Amino acid sequence: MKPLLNWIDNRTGIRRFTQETLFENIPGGARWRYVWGSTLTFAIMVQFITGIMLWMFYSPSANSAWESVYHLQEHVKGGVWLRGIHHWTSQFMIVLLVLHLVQVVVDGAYKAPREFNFWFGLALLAVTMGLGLTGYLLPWDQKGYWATEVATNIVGNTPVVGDYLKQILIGGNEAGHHTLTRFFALHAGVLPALLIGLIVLHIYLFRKHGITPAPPKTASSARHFWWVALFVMVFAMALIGANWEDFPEASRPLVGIVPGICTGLCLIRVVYLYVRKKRLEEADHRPRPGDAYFWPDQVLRDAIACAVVLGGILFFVGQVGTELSAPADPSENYSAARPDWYFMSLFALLKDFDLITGAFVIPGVVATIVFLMPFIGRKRIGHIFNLVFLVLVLGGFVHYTLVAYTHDWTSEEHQAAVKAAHRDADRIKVLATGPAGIPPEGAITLLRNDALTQGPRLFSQNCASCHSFDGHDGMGKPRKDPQSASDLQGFASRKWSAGILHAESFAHPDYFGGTKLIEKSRMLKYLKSDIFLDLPSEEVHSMAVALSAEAELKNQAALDAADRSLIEEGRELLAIECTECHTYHGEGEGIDLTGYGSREWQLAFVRDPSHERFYGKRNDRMSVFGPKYREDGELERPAQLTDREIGFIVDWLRGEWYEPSAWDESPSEGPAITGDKQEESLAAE
Amino acid sequence: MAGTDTDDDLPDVPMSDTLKQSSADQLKDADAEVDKGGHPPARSDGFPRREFCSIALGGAIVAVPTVVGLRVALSPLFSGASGGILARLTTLDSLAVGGPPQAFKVIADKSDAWTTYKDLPLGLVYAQRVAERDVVVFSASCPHAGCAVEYRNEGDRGEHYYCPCHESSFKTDGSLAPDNTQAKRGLDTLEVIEEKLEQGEVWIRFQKFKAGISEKKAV
Ligand code: FES
Repeated sequence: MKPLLNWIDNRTGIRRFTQETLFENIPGGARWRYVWGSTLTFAIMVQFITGIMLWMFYSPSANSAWESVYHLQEHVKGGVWLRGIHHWTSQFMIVLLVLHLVQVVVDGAYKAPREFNFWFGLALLAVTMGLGLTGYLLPWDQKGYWATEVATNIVGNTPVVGDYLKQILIGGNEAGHHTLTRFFALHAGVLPALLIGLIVLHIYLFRKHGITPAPPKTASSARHFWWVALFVMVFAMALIGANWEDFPEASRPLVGIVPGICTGLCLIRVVYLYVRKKRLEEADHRPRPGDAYFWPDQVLRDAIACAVVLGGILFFVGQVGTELSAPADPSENYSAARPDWYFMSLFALLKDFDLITGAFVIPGVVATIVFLMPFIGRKRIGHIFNLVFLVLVLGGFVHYTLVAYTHDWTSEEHQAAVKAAHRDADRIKVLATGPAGIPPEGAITLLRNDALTQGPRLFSQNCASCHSFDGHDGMGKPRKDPQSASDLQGFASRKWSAGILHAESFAHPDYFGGTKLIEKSRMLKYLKSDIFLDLPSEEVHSMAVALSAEAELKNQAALDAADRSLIEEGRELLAIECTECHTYHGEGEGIDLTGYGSREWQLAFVRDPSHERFYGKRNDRMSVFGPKYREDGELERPAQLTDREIGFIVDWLRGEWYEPSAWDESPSEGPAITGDKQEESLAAE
Repeated sequence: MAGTDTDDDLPDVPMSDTLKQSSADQLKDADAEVDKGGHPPARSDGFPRREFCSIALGGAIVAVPTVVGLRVALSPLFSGASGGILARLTTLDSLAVGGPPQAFKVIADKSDAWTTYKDLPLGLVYAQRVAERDVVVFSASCPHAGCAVEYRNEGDRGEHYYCPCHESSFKTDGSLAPDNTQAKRGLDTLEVIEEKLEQGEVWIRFQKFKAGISEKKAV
């Protein structure tokens, strides 16, 4: 072994190198405050390792990027953790870099001869933010897409070169395949290379100049430090407490526990320092420890600090997870668009300042002053200015970040948008795991063909100006003006048909109370007449059940099968009672009740409600959504909604969409049953 | 890293010492060879030909891959602004005269680098029929920084367009509302194709405009 080592050393000088690395002199002994550099190196190493692994799973193109990330998360064991660690480490890196920067400024470590090292550090921060920005887009999900849309538009506003810069960055005029390939090249190639180069230079210079010796630690300085820490934490807790209601339910444990633990630790530390005050002060008078070597004292501290960082990362990966929203869709409003948290303050700045000031002038001025700190700090007064400036900038950062978040947490609209975004994100995962899987065109087609996703959207755009759905517009926005047509939740269910056969509910705005038809409604007159009121309630009930059975709602199938005789009875009654004004299985004339509420019936109805099978001439204001023909059979205008779109609405109203189930083995069977609302209406029966 | 600035101390280390020695010897030998051949003739006419050639050649061999690489990487700069894509929104009849704006997805064929999509939803627009033969179509892309603008109709605030990102807001005619915060111009109108309107159909030229500035400039 020894000769081999000797030989290697002979050819490479490795011994000397490791010795120099490990036995670097640390004046004044190992200190906790020197750990930042090591934790950062550690974090960057984690990023390189996880990044390369992620690379093996990633496919940069507009119709495979989301899919590849999804696949990694859902189908590769440990994939969630791999992506999670990469994501959360990047968040930690920003925090660590800023803490490191703060420490360097506080200790005056930026002063001559360490100017260049300070600048390399700043460049590292910039590169890291660049990595965050480019990495945000790579999953090609809605969140990344819309945040990048804003970010690249800001780049496009860079004075003088903006237009060119934006084009080069996104690889054309609009986001697409080439945006991803370019962002990926930046994220996995250019920026990491820069990062390595900067770190090498940074560490080289650091070794050249040595550690900046910090003032020796005394018992009273330690007390000061921990008092300040405790005070800051208590203040933060008070702020959190004051805004407790504004935090979303899910985040509360986190915003409560994490600062709580920190405050507790600070408190313990302060108490400890006072309990042991005597002994610690005595220790001050003992001779100081002399210089120490990097190995093993400082290395142990560094290792502990890195372990704490890793623990923090794993905590967040496990507790908060890593979001993957629905695949990017430029035609789908994504009102929940927000950048990563460390850009939120810049984002909020854009609300108070115009684009040039908020995105260029203010950050530019701040960056320039920070850049010039080594010169400003030459005199003592300059150093104090630097400190004050740093506190102001960090304060501004925290302030604007909080402003942005509290705005979002208290804004009902934003919360609704987030909810809708989560719904899509969950839904696409259900669809992608379905029997059909993800088609080669990408997962977005699944959402575009899904009744549960498209139904409510189309409803809110085309129907919600008159109709409502459970009191809202289908997408969850409560309606503000009174509805002029029925609330279509649970249409044709047993509850619905029972409501129709009741004068009071029939004339309610949730049914036909809002329409003009109600004024001279013969139906209402009938419901109020003695003929109807004299019917025994079991008979009315059987009629309602039979009418609802016409719809053949899949989620009522079991009920309908069980009540076969009741339905038979009801059918006979319907044929007797209703055929004076309705068509029913070939008898009578009027609005067709045969197959009332079935898919075919609803499709035909929406296509042309003024068809004589339905309202005929007495149609109130409902649009003809299908193609319109003139008397002579010539096309007057093409369809407003295609049959496919109407199908989405109808399927959604009928509660028919793909839902995974344990026994659903044959994909060709089509959509299975569900729908909360139908269950509700059943429960109400 | 750490070793770099201590090169001068190398002789302290016995092994490295010999290494250095031997390589220095080699260098000397090489020099000697040059010496044997006498001074390069170039120097006599005062023109450092070798140096010049080395630099020129070095520059050239670096330049070739760099230029080719840059030309390709910068290719988006030479593609120019896109003229927009023609897309059918709906029929004229389906929009009520004076009715509220309606949101439409712009659906058209589109090619993105190597993929050509059939009937791809490209973006969102709001169309409003303001008169019998006049349809106004706004792009939903916010002129501030490109988030998606929403049409809203709220009690006291009335009808308006609102951007949830930085709270820009616009009147129904697309111009900046009094409480607008950030946008520097009104919503971008999209060209409605006249001939198609005559035939009772609403067709538009869908394109994007540069965000953040006060004039409307196609990208
Ligand atoms: S993007 Fe619309 S206000 Fe900023």
